[in-house]
Amino acid sequence: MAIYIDKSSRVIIQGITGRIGRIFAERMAQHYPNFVGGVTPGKGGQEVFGKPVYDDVETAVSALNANTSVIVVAAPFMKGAVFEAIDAGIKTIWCYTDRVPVHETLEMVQYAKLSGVTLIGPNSAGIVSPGKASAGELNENYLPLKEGSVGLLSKSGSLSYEVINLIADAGFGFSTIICIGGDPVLGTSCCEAMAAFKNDPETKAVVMLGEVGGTDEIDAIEIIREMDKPVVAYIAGHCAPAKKKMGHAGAIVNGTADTADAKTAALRAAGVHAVNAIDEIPQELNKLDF
Amino acid sequence: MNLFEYQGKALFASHGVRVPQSVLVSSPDEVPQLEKGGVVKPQIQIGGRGKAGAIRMCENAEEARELVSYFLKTPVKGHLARKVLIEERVEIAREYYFSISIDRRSKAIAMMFSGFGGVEIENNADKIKTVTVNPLIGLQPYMVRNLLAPFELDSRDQIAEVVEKLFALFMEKKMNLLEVNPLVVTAAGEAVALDAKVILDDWVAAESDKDAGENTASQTPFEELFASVGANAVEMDGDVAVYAGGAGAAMASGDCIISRGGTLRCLVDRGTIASDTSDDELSLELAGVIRTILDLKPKVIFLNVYFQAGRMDYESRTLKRAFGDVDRTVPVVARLAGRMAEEGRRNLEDTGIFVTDSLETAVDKIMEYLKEEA
Repeated sequence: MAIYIDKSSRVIIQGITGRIGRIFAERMAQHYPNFVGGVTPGKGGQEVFGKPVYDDVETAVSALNANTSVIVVAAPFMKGAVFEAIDAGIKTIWCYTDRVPVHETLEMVQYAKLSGVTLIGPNSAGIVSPGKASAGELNENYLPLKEGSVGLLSKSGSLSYEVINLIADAGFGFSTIICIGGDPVLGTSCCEAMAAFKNDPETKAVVMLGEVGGTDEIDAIEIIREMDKPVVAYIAGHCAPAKKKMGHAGAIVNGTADTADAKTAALRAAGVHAVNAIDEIPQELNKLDF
Repeated sequence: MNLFEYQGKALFASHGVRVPQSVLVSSPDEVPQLEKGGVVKPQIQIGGRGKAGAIRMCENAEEARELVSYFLKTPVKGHLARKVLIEERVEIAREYYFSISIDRRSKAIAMMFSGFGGVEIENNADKIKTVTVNPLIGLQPYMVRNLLAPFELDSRDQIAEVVEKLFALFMEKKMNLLEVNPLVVTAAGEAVALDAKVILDDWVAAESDKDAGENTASQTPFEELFASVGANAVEMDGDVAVYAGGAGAAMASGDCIISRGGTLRCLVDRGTIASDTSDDELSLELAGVIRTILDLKPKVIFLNVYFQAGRMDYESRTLKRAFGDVDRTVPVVARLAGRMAEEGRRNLEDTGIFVTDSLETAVDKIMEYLKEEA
């Protein structure tokens, strides 16, 4: 077990013949036998790192039994690629690409929901269940992606690199690492990912990495209250001034409730082990009994 | 990207929504004859303009000219107008509030309406009716009825028509926010948008009109420069300049310093500046970034880069060149990790930069430098 992807996942890449697609394909072929192929319209019949390329997702699904898609196409093509994947029967989708207009994200997200499909992103570093499957950019060659019982939920890719190292150095491994993304509207929110971790028997503790802006992490409190596993949290941006975009479109402090300090206080009040800086995460995990 | 009021109103008018007749001027000489007086509104992007004294009545052209020349010289809440809108006076019978926005929680579009418009909206937040619209089905007549149902309205049909037209505009332009406060009904029973606040999606706006407005958050020249090369920067007034690979990593690096009692001069997310090439263009862009950081005269510079896609050996070589070009007295702490990081750290060995692979060691060293300074 793990969340959203595991040994039974069969992963394809939409946009596999592009620059980014090839980078991901090389790495995934090296580490995961359940990465099975890819799609680029007009490039059917080619191979990328030994994996077959098809013209469309429907053919790839029937030929490869694919159920999970990594979509790396450019922003203007993202919505169409997601719709195609959903209509072809794909059940889990990761959208890597950033700069997707939010109106298009809304349509993608609502169509996925209607079809019972899990959508992760856009503008996200994706998901990995170490040793089982990867639909993400977290790189096994430069990150200690060890199997274990900690679930990691993060808005930011770059921040998760740091924390993965800190947690691994403290001797823990991961059930699943999910980077939900930094956009204002996300296929999978903090709440939904937290609920998935709650129901995953393999996950014994959750580390949540949030950031300033929005109410996503606060909304997750409802789920956390019903959980019988400990949650450690860090909200990035104690140093962030109000009304400034911090790189992620979602990370703008708009009021008093969405500052890092306010969110941290609310999480603490709900029994979450919330820390002020990432270097405090390992000692919090070590204090816990799981 | 925020639009100015006059730009938002031009969009409203183009979709058949009535706005006051107006003239836009950028000098007092451009003020026309005003037999019936008017309303003078400097075009600045702040909330609560009325309370801040930035919406003023005038009786004639002479008064208007005086107000225009005042507003072109005098900042309001730190914002100086480049243009001033002079509008006809509208006889207001009732004031309402209407907005359309993206609702992160329901992942849908939210319409809000209130019978308490204008400055009253803040005190009557509980009297707002919200209707969410699933983008897959779009606006349906029952949604407009539900939105307006709780309110006693004399001109229900006229208001419903405005709601429909503005919703169509919101969808067509793929807006992030459209707000009308107040939406008024005149003594003659006509619905008029007296104000317009519009935020366009940066990723949509990028494709069309870049010069139409200003950024959502007002930027300093320092921040603008970074935005132009695909990086993100935020300027502050403390001691440590943070340069990191990624938005989350930048904030987390800053928080490590803050949690130990330090302060920040700036946060730079190096963003999408290419990192998988070793060409000279990259080093020029990075050199510019580094020079700009040095210009802020921070007490310490913290380079925290953890690449897994980009190559640390290239990054370090360009950083070395960028720092080599300048006369530097400020201490620099570089924490380099990830792909080709060992080679990256070796590249910086003879530069006088403190190099480490550990975040903890880096933060310790920064605090040490800050103590020496003090």
